[in-house]
Order: sequence, then structure tokens, then C-alpha cells
Amino acid sequence: MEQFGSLIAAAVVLTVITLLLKNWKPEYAMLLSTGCMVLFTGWTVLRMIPIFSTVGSLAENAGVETVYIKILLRCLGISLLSEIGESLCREAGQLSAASQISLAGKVLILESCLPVYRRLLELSLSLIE
Amino acid sequence: MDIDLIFRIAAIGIIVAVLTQVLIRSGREEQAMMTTLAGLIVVLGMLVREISGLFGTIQQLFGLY
Repeated sequence: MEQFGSLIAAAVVLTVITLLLKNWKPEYAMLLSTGCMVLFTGWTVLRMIPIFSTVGSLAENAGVETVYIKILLRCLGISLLSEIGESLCREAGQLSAASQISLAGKVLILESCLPVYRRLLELSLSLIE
Repeated sequence: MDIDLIFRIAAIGIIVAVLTQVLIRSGREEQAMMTTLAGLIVVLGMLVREISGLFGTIQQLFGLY
């Protein structure tokens, strides 16, 4: 938890340096913010690993089929990656690229959720009969 | 995934910015552009390695491969 505080402090320092670099060399400001993003996302992802293993074991105990947990994690990963790409493009001013990335992320999530919809439909139809 | 990488990028950015100002003032615009390009490539090299490591971890963690 104390790492979290030092990370926030590092973020503030890096933001100041980025602003400093913005009027001299805008491309380095972008690279610096990308590095900052990599640092924080890496820290967050590394802390997610134990969380996911406990969620997986809880799901097995609760009897939920692991297929759905896998699809859920897949959608979570796709949304995380598209969020990273979109926020970087938006910050650099490429609004069109940012919207395309989020659109692609939505389509990928929809594609990976199709089996769940089919299973839901079958379940509801069997209930009706 | 440690913090000195980020401060190294910031240091390179500031050094290149100052260097290009000096070069431009002394009339060597081409060298200034070359210096910016070189600094950019160095920083991109470092960053790409970190980003690929991050994306590899994310793919392996969320099962996206």
C-alpha cells in the first residue's frame, strides 16, 4: 500500500516534467507519458495475478463453469488493452485513431461473448418448452 | 518495470531539448534535427521493450493469446 503513495508522487513529478517538455519537444512529452503508463499498468497488472487465481478458485468452488470465467477475463483483457491504446492516442491528439481503437475493442468483446449469448438463448428456449 | 526507466526518458528528453537549442543558436540546424532523431530512437528502443513486456504479461494473464 505504501508503494501506491510513492507511485502517485512519481506520477505528479512525471506530469510536471511532461509539461516542461511539452513546449520544447512535444514528442518527448508523449514518450514520457507512455513510459508513465507502462509503469503504472505494469504495477497494476502484477498485483492482479493473485486476485485472478483466487477468483478462479472461488468460481470452481461455487460451481460456475470455467468457460465463462475465461470469457469474462478475456473481455476484461481486451477492454484494458483498448483503454490503454485509446487514452494514449487521445492524449496525443489523435481522436480519430482513439475512437477506432475503442470500436475495435468493442467488436472483439462482442465476438468473444457470442458463445454466451447462444448458451443463454438455448437455456431460455428450453425453459419455454 | 522500475521507475528509473521513466526518469531516464525524462533526462534524455531534457538533454536533447537543450542540445538542439544550442545547436540551432550556433547555426547548425541539421545537427539539431539529427540529435532529436537520435534521442527519439534511443527512447523508443527502451520504451518498446517495456511495452512488449507489459503486453506479454497482460496477454498471459487474461488468456488473450
